[in-house]
Amino acid sequence: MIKRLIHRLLWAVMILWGATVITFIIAHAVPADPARVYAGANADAETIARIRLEMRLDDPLIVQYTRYLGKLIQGDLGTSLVTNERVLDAIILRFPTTAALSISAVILWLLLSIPLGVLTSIYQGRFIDRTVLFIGLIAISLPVFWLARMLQYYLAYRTGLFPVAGYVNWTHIILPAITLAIVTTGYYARLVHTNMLEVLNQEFVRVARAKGLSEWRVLFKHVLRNALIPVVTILGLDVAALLGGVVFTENVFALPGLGTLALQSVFNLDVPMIMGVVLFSATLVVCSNIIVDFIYQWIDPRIESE
Amino acid sequence: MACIGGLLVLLLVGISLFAPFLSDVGLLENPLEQHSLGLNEDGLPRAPGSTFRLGTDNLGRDVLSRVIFGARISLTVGIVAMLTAVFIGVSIGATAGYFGGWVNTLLMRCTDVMMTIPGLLLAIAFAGLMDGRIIHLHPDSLEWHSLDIPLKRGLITVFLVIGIVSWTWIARVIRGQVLSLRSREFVDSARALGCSHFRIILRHIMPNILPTIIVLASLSTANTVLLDAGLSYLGVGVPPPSPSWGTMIAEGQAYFIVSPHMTIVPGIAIILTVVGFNLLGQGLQEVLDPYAKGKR
Amino acid sequence: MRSNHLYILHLVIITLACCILSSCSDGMQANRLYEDKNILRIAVPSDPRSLDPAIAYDVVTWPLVRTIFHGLIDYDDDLNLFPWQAESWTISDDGRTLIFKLRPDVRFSNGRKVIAPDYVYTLERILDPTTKSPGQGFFRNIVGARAFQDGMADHVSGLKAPDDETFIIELSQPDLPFLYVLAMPFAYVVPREEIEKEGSDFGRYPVGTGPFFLSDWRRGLILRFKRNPDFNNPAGIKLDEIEIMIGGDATVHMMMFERGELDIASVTSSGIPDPDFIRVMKNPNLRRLVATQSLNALFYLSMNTEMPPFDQVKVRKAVNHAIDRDRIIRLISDRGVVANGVLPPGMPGFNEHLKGYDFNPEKARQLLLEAGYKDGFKTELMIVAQNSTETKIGQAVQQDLERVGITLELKPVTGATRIEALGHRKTVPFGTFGWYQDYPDPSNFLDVLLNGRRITDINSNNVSFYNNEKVNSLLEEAAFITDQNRRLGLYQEAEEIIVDEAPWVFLYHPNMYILRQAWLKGLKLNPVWPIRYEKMWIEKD
Repeated sequence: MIKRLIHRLLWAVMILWGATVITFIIAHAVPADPARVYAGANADAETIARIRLEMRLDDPLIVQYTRYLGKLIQGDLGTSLVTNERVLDAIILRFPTTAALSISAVILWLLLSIPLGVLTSIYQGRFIDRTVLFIGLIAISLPVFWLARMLQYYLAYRTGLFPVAGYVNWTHIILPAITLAIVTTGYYARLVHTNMLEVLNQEFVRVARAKGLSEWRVLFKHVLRNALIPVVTILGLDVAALLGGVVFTENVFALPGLGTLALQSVFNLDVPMIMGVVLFSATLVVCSNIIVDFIYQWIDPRIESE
Repeated sequence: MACIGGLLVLLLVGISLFAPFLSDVGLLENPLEQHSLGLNEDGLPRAPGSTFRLGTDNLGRDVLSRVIFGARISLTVGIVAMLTAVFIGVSIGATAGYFGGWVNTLLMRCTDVMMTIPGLLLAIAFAGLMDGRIIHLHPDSLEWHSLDIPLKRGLITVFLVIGIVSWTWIARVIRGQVLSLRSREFVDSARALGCSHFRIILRHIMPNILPTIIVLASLSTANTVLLDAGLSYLGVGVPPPSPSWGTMIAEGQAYFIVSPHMTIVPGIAIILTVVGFNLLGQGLQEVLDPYAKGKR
Repeated sequence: MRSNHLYILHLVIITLACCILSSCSDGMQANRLYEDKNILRIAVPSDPRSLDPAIAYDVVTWPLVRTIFHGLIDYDDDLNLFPWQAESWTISDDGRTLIFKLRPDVRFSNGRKVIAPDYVYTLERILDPTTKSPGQGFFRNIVGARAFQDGMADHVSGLKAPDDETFIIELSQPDLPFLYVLAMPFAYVVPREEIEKEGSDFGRYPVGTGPFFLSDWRRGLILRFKRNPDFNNPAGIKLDEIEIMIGGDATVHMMMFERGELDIASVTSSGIPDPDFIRVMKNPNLRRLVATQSLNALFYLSMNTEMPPFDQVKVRKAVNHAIDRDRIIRLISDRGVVANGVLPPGMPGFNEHLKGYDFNPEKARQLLLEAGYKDGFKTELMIVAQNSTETKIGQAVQQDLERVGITLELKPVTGATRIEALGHRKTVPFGTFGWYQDYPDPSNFLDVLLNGRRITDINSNNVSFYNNEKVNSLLEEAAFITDQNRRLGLYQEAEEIIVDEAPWVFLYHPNMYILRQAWLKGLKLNPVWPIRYEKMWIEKD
């Protein structure tokens, strides 16, 4: 167990290091003039020259990168160019909203997709199976921002079932979470469905049935647990995709989370903030991967992954 | 299922190819004329009706024409981005799976890194920071300036950006496939015969994973089209006035309450396109099964 | 068992559907988010840059600054100036010295009493180049200001505080409008010790003498003002809290308003988002929630008097006669009043007898003929891109001019480009422009925009580069007179000449619209301060 933990932590460190390299490349190597981008849209030539000096942009890239990495390790993610607050502070301020939204969305879609997946696997081939899967297909083909606007218009504005936008209390999270859940359920339901089918055909299930266990017990105790394992694994990595969808949802529903921060900082060319958000998201994904890994281990200690 | 998907895709390709014939190009060219014709007496977009089948937008332009021309852009970006993603993904995945050992570990770690950074965030950051730097693909001594890529936001850079964030899962699937293929006898016998690695990959492995690649290509296009729509919506995709569907939805935002069709129509266009590619991909997957354990 | 599941599923779906259908409404069943608490809730798309009164200079931030900071003078509802946190003031006979007696009971929200040296500090700070205040130009008339700005003096000699309750300003030239300048938020008093503590962060942690204080500002999230219980004049302040949501665009805010989540639909300059304007006006439920205020502003077409063919008066007059302004007003859904001259109706010195130019294509053609343009001519009009109002107006003008033989091409550019190009000498022959008052005095329009002696080669405010010696002398003379009536007379004389020489096409004076909930009381509009939060309160009947 400990060995695994260490192994995983090493992996995490390596991945995060790779992420810093990529962020650095984007921020420093892509723009034609990082100083100009850094100084902001309205800066004059003098400010840009001063910033170029401060950033020591004439040093070789490797040296710049090492300096950047050094600051990171100390927890200094830099200061926003636009608002002068510390990047880390800004991120921590926005994180709870995104977390609330993400967790609600995950819970919702798990609640929806697992039963749907089970149902469709039971009635495999029948009308309900085909319909649900087809609807699921449409669901994953929906652009998140479009769906968000539609739901906002019909369920919040026209009918008043939910608040329109903003984040005053928990009711403001429901509709955004539903939006995210809809686009993901289709995929997960299918996943559960496929896995259930696979497991249903396996040896030990036949054995259990032959032993005379009731259908329900077979279903829940054996099949479902095994079918859920790949789901849990995917969940870990899907945090990355989730954070992508979160950007759109927060934008439409005016939720003050990391997604809005990312967008604003791109449009303001607030380079330290962009780098900070990207790195922070990568850290979140890595953490959730590790957590998921351990849940997975706990569910079935027999299974080893590569 | 594949049939329906295939039909949809063909329809779309057809529409985008024949766009100029299908709709009046003039409707998009003369902004001022459209203004008076295309708007009602309140100066607002016209709802779908007899003259304008799908209504007009806030500048009086015919939505149907824009959607049709938008098909060209969205499909082009989607497919080219997919090709980029597939190229990168297959190269990395095949190399990793074939050579194994440290090559595999290295490449897979790189893939892991790219997978942990949320694709959309990376794409936005990337696209947003492009301010005109020129990448010289030629060595400094030779002055082949035709090989320069200016990194300004435009068609080429958009599909590059999308391609760069979409290849990771392709690499994973391909690697798994190649890994299992490699352990088969024919590879060893080919090596014994003295075939180079490159040759083996090209002539023996590729044909076997081709069906998978096709499936992945189709599913990947679904993704890239969605991603392109998202980037255009946020304003970091192909710059206006190109009628990319995402841009159309963004333009329709302010008019949502009075003219919802500006938003609904391009949305449905996106959905149909993506559904088409998804159906095609999933259908092909069922047909070509044993190999494709393709997850998205 | 299996059929049970389906049954339950069906039941759930039907219940949900019933819920949705039953609560369908037309969007006006608004329930207030904060019930009947006296908390005002509004929204802005992004954070204000700074709440520092020396720095804030836009329509959204000024009303916010006003709740935290107060100053010497303010406008009453008739646009007369009255002593606010000053007790009284006197002006010397030659108009150069202003003496203010301060109220003894005014405190900053940190508890400290306000004294005259605070005002000296405040105004000096505005002139200080390191503050980079956008308002410094308004205060340069103070004796010693230039020396201070050039670094040749440590203080502004014209600002004096002989004792704690007396504040004296000496001007180098008599300047009646200077009192208006003191009513601008730039001159709201600030505490030296807080600024020395916070430095450039003072805009983020403001401390002032207003009825509210900043209780919470989380960037990108929320801005909150709470009532200051120690404010020295609590009478009339009924609001407990102002909550400003940060984020979302105009359409989302509109939707939120209609569902009761916001008390004012939009506090930005448009008031009602363009696409929704007609819908709102046609909906009786929404229409009665709209308050209209005609702004002291002018939207006009500037003709460059240094570039042919606009260098000829007859051509310019012809263009004025050719354009049907009533039609333009209709095109923009009556969001303004036709302009016959430069000054808006709410401006002192407004000449209601000024006839302006009637719509007369015949006369236009005649004038063109006389000017030597029998066959008309070709030119281009610069407008702001992606702006439906500008496009509509541009097209209407295009059609009108076509009728008299002038071929007009529209040239859409970005807002920033337009300002720069128009201010550049001999660059733009014909362009749209607008001007919104800084304070209600004719000099703010006539002197700034049409004085020939103020023309600069770049960044000129006089974008038609109009230069008439008679007008110039009238304007310069009026600037320094202390007799208001005579001043206004001079300005009117200048305006008449200007209208006669027609360097502009005088289009319209725009309106501002405020869409607010029925339970929001106390909205008292005036052309200088359409929104004053501290005068509002919530009352649900």
